[in-house]
Amino acid sequence: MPKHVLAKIISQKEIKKGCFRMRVKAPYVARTASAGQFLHIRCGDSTNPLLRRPISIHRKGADYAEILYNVVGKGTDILSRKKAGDKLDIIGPLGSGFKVYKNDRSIRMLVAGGMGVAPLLGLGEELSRSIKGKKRFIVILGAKTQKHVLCESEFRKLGAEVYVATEDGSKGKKALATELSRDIIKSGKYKRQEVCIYAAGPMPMARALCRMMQRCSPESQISLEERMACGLGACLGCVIDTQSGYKRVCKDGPVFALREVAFK
Amino acid sequence: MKTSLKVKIGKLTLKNPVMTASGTFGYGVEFEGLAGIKELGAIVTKTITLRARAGNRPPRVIETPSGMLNSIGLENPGVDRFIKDKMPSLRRFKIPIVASIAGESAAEYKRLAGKLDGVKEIEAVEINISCPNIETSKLFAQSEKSTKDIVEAVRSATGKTIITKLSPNVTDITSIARAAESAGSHALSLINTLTAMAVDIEKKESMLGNITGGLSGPAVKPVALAMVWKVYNAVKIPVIGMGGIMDWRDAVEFILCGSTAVNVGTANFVNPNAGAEIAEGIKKYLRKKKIKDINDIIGGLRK
Repeated sequence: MPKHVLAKIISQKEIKKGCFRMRVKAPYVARTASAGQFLHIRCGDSTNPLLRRPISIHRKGADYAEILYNVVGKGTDILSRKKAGDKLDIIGPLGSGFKVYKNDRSIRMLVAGGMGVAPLLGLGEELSRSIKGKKRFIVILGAKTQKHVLCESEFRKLGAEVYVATEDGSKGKKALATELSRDIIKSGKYKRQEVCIYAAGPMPMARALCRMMQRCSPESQISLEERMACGLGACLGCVIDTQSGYKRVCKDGPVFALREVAFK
Repeated sequence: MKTSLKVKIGKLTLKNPVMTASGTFGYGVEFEGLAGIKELGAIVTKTITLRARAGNRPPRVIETPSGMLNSIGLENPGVDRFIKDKMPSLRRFKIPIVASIAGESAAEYKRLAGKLDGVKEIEAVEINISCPNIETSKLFAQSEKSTKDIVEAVRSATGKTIITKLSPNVTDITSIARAAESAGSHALSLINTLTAMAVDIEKKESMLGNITGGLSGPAVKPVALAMVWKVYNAVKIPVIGMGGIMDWRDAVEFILCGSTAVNVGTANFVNPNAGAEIAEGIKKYLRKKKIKDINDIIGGLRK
């Protein structure tokens, strides 16, 4: 059950140009949220911008939650100007997050396109806690250029095998995250059916991934984005097309089974 | 001092004038735990149709300055599944339920009203003849004759209070209002959303999958107020006003312009508890102004 609270901002830092990491005191969210869920945030206090902004929960600690976001418009610009000590109007945790199936034999491959890395770091932390023994997980970080690569060291600290793909080749392989993940699977290092994908990224990436990865583990999942109004499953404004008709990104998602998503 | 917020809409008595606007509060259950649902005067459900509707192609919502466009397209499970799946949770709130209905013909509206007539907790039906996001080129609410035919058809099928929801996308809203009144509607609700667009200049395409949508939110409030005032002065039946009500001050403006009750819509998306807070704010306003009965200020604009 989500809660509507005024959370105190603990810290805010611009970790890359135009990309901010904010930590808010939110014990309830920290206690109840799972990776892939989101917070519905009121960025300003006027009517412009009017609606809340859905932002993935990035990481969480004992009594705090973090978000990682790019300044892309008026709402996120206002958000980026907030300082430690300010209050933030949040509703959450919302939506259906990633499902971690324990003790299965699959190789988990986290595929992050750009800001899609935000919810995947939280998932990585959850995986590193829940997976016992030597089962690794692989992370593919896709970014525009070297300057845009996020969370690489954080993932390495969790013991993940990290691959980087940049669009201009300034770091790692010159490729999209989807292309690099396909190449890794094609190399034969892992059995395709055993690769369980956890992906998040912009719509074009989601489309490409759905085309390329249908034969991976049926447990593969993807976090999708759509503009939202209520965030609670009531207004039906954020639907996407799936194999079983329109589904609400805010409630049925944002994380969907990769096989469920239908792109036309 | 005792302050009464009680208002009457046809046979329906509301403990306060604040209702949720159709389509913005789902079936209530989505807002449980976040909204003071029991503090509301009534819930107006998302519009129900005879058969299930999938709704329009996404994207379906886009924000505009102090407003938003939606083109949901009446997605709903159909009346039978509404009664079976949605009514049990709506009942639990123990507040009046207004069922919003839409059909493709007067006969369909009649069948819908008939099916809902047997559901005890539904105390009124709101005839939605003004959704701008459906396939037809002309809305029923844009024709006096269609409005009259549909209201009469619904009247013949139900003894419940009938509210007719009007469109602002007309040349003269008072003529449609009078048509609904003469056909036996017990009340009028207005305004539905204004047909509107937003354009992505990079992609050279509409921001909405359905190309056009309906504008709501603070941006439409001045338009809505003027329409409520005009309709209030043109008919004798109660007017339910809505359009960009974000707080109790906005609600009081609508009441002064002739609204017996108000609908809170887009505000639910910003603050899920907006309805309950608005009801409380109106009460405080009345106390401060030493007004004992809200009915004393309905249409109380000084001329």
